[in-house]
Amino acid sequence: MKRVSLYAAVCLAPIICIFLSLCMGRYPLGLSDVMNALGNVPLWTDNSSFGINHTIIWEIRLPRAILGAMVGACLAVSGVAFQGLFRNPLVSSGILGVSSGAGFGAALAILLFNTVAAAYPFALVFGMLAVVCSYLIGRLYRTTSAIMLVLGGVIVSSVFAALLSFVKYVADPYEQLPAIVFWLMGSLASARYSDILIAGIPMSIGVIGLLAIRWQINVLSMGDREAQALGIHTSLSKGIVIFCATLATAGAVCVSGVIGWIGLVIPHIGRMLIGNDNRILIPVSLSLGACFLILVDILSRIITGAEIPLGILTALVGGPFFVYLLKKTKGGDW
Amino acid sequence: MSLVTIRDASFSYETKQIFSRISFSVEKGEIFCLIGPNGCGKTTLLDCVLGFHHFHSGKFQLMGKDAAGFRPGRVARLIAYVPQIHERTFPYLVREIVTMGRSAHLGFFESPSRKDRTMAEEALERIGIRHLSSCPYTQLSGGELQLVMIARALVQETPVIIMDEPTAHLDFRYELVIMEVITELVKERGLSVIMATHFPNHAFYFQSKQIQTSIALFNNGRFLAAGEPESIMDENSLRELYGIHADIISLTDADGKTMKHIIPVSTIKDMDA
Amino acid sequence: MKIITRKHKHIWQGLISGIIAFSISLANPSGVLAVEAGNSVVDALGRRVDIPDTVERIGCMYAFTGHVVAMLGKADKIVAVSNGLKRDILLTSMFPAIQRAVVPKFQGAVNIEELTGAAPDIVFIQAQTGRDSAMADKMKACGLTWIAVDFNNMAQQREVIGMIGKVIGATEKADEYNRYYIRCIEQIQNKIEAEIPARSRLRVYHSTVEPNRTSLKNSLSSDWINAAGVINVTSQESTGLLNVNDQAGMEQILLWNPDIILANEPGVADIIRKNPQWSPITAVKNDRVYQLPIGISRWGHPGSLETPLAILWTAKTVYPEKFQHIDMRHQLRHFYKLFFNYDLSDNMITQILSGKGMRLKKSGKKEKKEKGQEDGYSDMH
Repeated sequence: MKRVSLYAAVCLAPIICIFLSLCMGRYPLGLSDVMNALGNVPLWTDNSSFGINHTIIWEIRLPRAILGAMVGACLAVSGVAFQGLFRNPLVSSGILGVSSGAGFGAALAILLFNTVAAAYPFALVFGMLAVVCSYLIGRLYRTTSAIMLVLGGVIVSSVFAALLSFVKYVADPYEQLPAIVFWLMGSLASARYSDILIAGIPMSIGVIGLLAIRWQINVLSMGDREAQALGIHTSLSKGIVIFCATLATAGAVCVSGVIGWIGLVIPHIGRMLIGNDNRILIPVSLSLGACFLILVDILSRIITGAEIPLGILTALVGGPFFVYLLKKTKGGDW
Repeated sequence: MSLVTIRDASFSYETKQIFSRISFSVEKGEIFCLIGPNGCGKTTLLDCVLGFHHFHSGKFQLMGKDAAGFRPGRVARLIAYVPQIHERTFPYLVREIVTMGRSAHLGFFESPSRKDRTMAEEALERIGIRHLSSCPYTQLSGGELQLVMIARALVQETPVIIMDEPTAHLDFRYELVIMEVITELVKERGLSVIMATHFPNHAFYFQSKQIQTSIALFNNGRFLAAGEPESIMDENSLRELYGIHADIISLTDADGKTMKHIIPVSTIKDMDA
Repeated sequence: MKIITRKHKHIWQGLISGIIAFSISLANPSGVLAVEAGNSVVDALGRRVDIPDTVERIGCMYAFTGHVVAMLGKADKIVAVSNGLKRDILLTSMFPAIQRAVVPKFQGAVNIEELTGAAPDIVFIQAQTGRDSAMADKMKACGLTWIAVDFNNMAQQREVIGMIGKVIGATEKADEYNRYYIRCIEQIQNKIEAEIPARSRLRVYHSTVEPNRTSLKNSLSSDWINAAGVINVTSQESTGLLNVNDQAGMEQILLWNPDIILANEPGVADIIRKNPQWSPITAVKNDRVYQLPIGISRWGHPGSLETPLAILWTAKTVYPEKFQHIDMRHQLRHFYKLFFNYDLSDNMITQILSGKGMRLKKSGKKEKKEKGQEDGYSDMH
């Protein structure tokens, strides 16, 4: 019974947050306006005739909220997965160089093709490439030990960070550079349904894969030797976890740029709330990550008429909240 | 049919020979003690049996079947493992740790069911630490942790358990608690245990409990001797194995049973001379 | 918890440096100016700079100053430029000499050795570059005479042009340009004041580079837009506490609901017309989304020398019935002949007015933008 209500909360919370997000924004819309607009689903009616309220709800707030939920969920869940896999509660999606690889790929695409459209596949490919490089460096000593993998990730991250700086250096300061910088900062501002469809594929595959394999993440966090002795095909399972987590992260980075902090804070909040069992932690983090990013995005939209990049807000909101939680739980047990 | 059969097995890292032409077998209800000084290759031999490494040559059978190509899941349904050192990272609850022992019996994307969780609780009950079930296992003492690891091995429902120095780092009381738990499990369930240990006395202990016990003295990559503890453990073999002078005494416990005990006396300074 | 504390440190460092940068900009609100004082000028950082006796070699580390120097007839004396300058097709075709200048500034930082190697008598830099005291010290150590340039409105822009004219010995031409500038403003202002009451003036959203990026209050763009007899939506109300990258939120733009949208980047106007998010806006509904012309620079961009033309064009575009007498083709031919001594072909005039194909991309290839390829900009994050 307890478990049923937990899962009900896990499912309902993001839906409530999405609805909340539909009701809030710079443009003043009352609850009845929102409900009216929601009543006219544009799929089977001509959407041009409904006017501005309809556009705001269906073209601006809803895609944004959905995308925010997906990105938040992806970053949080892959954070949990990487933490479990590397047996280190302080790693996040950034480890293995996924974010910096994807960031570099996107910047390179903007530099080469002068359009942000090419950034999507490039971010994905380079995010994957970063993981492969980290993995190969980790294999130098013919082991897949976590420490070597993390070290490989650190090396790859810094190489890609340097390459990114170089791309920024040679980019056109008037046209390309602002695009690259804003892309890297992360924004859901231009969310469209097509983004949800395109980037949704890698994100969904990644998250569903991690949900499916979440029990094995528990066992993998016992370390390679014990996991194998417990019957896990460690290299296969680790490969799947890394692949899925990378896919989810790179997909998220594709649509929203690099948003830091979520992959670290949300898993910890989850650990504090319901413990470390990934069977429950992964769905809960998914839900928390989705809610957190929707709420942060609401803030980013209503504080000013301008767009505040999400990375700034996730850090400003997530940081103090994290400190508060650490204090409340005395830091000892997550 | 022996549960574990190893004939003329060898293993080396790169060019460094770790052991060669090792042979032994383990029967149902038997405790096989692997005794030898630090760095003699005990852990590597256990790793090969567990499938972490592969023997380079020789015969390796589990339940009479050639086990060289067994997948981890198949090995894990035959052999459970109690590690020497368990590095604790996340504060999982004790029952969550024990439930992980069910992994080998689950499908690839399957999570443990209610039945698996019940089994974990029963194993904790059996080991006598059910009260710790909801504790974060990071808060346990070394001895309690070792009991949890044994409980985890128990729910794996394997005929064989491999223990790598299960009483290292434990105080007298917990050393005995662990020994007693092992004794009971072997007697009750007919489990077989392969155990690496620094304490030759453990072999005498098990023998005194009427458990079929064999012992192998392992040094420099080979077995110096193997067989019944009574017959092969004496002052000479200890001198050869550890380079020490030792006395073997007999003592009688409250029930009137006798138990041999080795007392290390002094090191031998001029072994080579 | 090491990672967390380090992250915090970055945030605080960022905040603190942001606050410092902000206070510096407050301390120097005007950002200008050239004060006449014999043979010296006062630059945007308030430094008094003595004008060298001979100014035969000029470094222009800020594209705008390169445009000004070229306009004032001294293009052949430019020995060092920032990279953006070489990409202006019109400018380099007018003054091929610019192609020979070295490029010591690629992005933010100036390569001091390359610049010194070009041996300029005077260097014009952006005030922002000069605020970097390390850069200032190095330029001083290398014996470079430099003048920092900055402007946030039309009056300041004219003062800067006057100052450059004085420094490079082309005061008359600079004055002539400034007179033309003022004439353009007055011509429009008088007509607007007389014929269009304040409340019936149309409201304009100025998209710069990206759809959602706009020109803020107290910027040159904002100033000239108001001078064209229209109201810049950003000048009406605050866009909020923070202005990150001048980005305006979509809902904020819908709230402004501009009557006219001007976009200075090729392709952006098409995106705005097509994207459903923009569809409820009056300007889009009435098909009043325009691409600003691009000549030597993107007209009306901060740092554009063609601001007077942008004012004329905007007034005529927004109120066509009131400004029928203005013939933009004639104005263009006149402007570029007068100030750049360049005869525009009819084709080039059409091209400038269409705003397409006037800037070189990084690779040096001519900008090639086709429909569809531009769609990427709607994804601009």
